[in-house]
Amino acid sequence: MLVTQEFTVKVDGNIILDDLHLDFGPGIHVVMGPNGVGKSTFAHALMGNPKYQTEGAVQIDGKDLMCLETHERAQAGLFLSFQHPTPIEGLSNFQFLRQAIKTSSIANSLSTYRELLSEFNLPEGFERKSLNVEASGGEQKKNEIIQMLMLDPKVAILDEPDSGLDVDAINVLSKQLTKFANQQNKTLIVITHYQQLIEKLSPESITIFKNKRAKQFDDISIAYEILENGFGIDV
Amino acid sequence: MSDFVYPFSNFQTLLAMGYRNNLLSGRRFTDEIYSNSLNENKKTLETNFLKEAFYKNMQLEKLMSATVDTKPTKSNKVEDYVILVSDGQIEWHPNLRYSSKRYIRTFDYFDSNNNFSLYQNYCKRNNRLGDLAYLNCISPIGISITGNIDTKVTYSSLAKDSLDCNVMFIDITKGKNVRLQEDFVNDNIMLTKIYYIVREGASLELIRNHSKANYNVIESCVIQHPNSKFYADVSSDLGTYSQDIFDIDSYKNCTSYFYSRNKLTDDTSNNVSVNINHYGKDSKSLIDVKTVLDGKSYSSFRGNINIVKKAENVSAKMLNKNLLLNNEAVAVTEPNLDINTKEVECSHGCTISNIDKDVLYYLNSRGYNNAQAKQTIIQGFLSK
Repeated sequence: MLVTQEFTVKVDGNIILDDLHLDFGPGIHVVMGPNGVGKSTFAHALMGNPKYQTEGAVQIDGKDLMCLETHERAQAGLFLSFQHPTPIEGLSNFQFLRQAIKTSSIANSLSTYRELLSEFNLPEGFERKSLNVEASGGEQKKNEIIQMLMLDPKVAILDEPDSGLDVDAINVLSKQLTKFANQQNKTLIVITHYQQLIEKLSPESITIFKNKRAKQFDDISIAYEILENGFGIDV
Repeated sequence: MSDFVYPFSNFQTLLAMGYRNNLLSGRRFTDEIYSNSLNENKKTLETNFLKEAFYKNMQLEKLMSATVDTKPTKSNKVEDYVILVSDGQIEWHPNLRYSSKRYIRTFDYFDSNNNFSLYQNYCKRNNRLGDLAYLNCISPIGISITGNIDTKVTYSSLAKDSLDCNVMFIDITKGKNVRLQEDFVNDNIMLTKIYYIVREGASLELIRNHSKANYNVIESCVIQHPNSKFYADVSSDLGTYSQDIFDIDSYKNCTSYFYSRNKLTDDTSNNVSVNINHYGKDSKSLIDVKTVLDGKSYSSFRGNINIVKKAENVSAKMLNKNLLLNNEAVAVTEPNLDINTKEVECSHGCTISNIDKDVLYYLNSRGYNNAQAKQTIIQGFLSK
């Protein structure tokens, strides 16, 4: 589980997110909010992106993240699926993952990786391609989810994992995410506005970001209300 | 010759004074192509290389100020060699039982059938440091390869001389596929001029490493006859100063690939110049040079693609990428294209950059610490 207290995020001294008190227990949680409100900023600030200055407290299963560097947060069990994954020329998908698995001390085999590639309908030889270089937007998104499944984190934040995915891929995505979240003590935070995905995931809570603040709702019908009427609600 | 110490910048003056009376400068050899009477080489001996535009980015002053010590020093013992080239001598390893001996003939001046005159047309002076190699080496040497061979050629100084010069011919017979691994081993200064003649339908794969030489100047002329293939893979990471200059002449339907991967540290200086001349139709070339620079290292790249009017349907590409790991490292890149026909496909891309913070962060987010991430980025950057 992931908990934030008085969590504030600044860029160049300007407050982007202010005093967030959020509690993401085991299971799936959806994050929504108007464009530019700071949802991705929230995700990257939790991951420890040096672009952001943060204050307050963030814990994973009681462990403080604020004093950790990005790689230490990853090793502590936090995963972030990027909205725009970074291309790295010359580094193959599997090479990249093998090293990442090593650094996280989690054993997972090439055969599992190949099964996932096949399940997500990625082309043969994808493991040898340079990371996010010659892949379509959809392939990059699938690759991020495969990385998450291979690394098996405690808490995963997925930043719009559905964008660029076709209908079949959305089905595989929701199936895999549900399977992941059904494991014991796994927390999945999904930033999305895609109704079909929200329905399939049956989240535990909906968090709405607005005006630098965020509010968590246990009643997920708020998501459908927003999708129908927009973000005119008070947070 | 008494023992003395001088800066390399005095080398030309010493040669002009008759410092070295090699086999090539004798009267009885003046009818040979290598005849190096001082008069014939007057222009080379009077050239101020420091002012030559060709060398403007090559930190030549560093080489010129290097010290040449003529006192006998310990020789560079090279145990692991197959063919050893050393100042006018060429020899096989004494313990070698190697089938390639059947397909490789070595020759030097003392070989009565050396056929040096066959190579006369290839040996044009171009007013570069390599020309001085003619004057200071004992004699040219060569190998003629008549089979499909994979072998090693080591260039080193055995003569306990601190300025080693070689002029070398490598002649690949028609239709043969050859792979050569070249090593350069020298504690001091080495000037080498090599001619590769890749005859019709032949292929040459060259794996070159000059990391074990201190000050190293290598000038390579590759003459590709029609339908031939040339592939070079050059790497450097140690050594104080190196110049690796390639002039490649490509005729009809040739393929030429030049890869260079360099990882420089401390105050290493590495200078690569590749000049590819497309003289025939339907040929293809790729120049791909990547360098990672750390410490106070220095790298220069100069690439030229020249395509003559009749060389239609040529595809040529040039890439030079530099990754700076330290603010004190310097990379200079200079691409030149001279295209004289419309029916070509030609491109170039030259970049100098630091480690991308977004890439570093992405790797960090997957658990890589900074050292692992940098190592991974470098490995990916240098891949082909």
